[in-house]
Amino acid sequence: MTQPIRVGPEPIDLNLMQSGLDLSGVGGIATFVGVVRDPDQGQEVTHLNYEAYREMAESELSAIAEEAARREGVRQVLAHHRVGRVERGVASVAVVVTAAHRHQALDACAYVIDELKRRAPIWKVGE
Amino acid sequence: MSADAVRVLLFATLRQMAGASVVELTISGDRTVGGCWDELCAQMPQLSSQRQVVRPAVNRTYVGWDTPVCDGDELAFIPPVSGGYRE
Repeated sequence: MTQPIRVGPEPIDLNLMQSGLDLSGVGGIATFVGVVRDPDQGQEVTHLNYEAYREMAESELSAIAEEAARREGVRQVLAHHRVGRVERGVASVAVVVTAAHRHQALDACAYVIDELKRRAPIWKVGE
Repeated sequence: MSADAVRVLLFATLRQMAGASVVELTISGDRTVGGCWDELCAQMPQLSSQRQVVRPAVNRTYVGWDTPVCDGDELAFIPPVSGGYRE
């Protein structure tokens, strides 16, 4: 079992995130994984550095997860975001949502990643 | 009049412009988030242009500019987060 919400330097482990799920009454698991894009807007990207206001990012992510969990059919919401250096093609963020029906899971998963991008104090920074 | 001590956290672009990640402010006049921003910019005028793009947070929650600030509060000015930036 893993922490539902985490902002930290540890690599994203999707198998670990999914291993502790309670699948009772669940009809679908929606997963979003964001990776470091290369090339980006025509430019080579070798890696990105993520900086976070970690305590606030975790509390904001917890609030977003609670909002998503209040939606009809949604059972569990997990979200992990990395900080520090992340190489190209490697996951920097992952969201896992379980729900009774697939559209509930997919919609809630989209809600979480969209709100995370809008509200979580996490930045890509230069060297 | 007594003065309050407030800890201001700076991140990403704002941290780079300020050359510091933490600034200790002593406020005795306008005890609001906006008052703290003005005090911060009096010390670091290079931040003044960022007023329109940053979002203030007190004790890890987004707040408005007229929110009162108390002694010991943790204040942060959050630069734009969506999409990030690269040098």
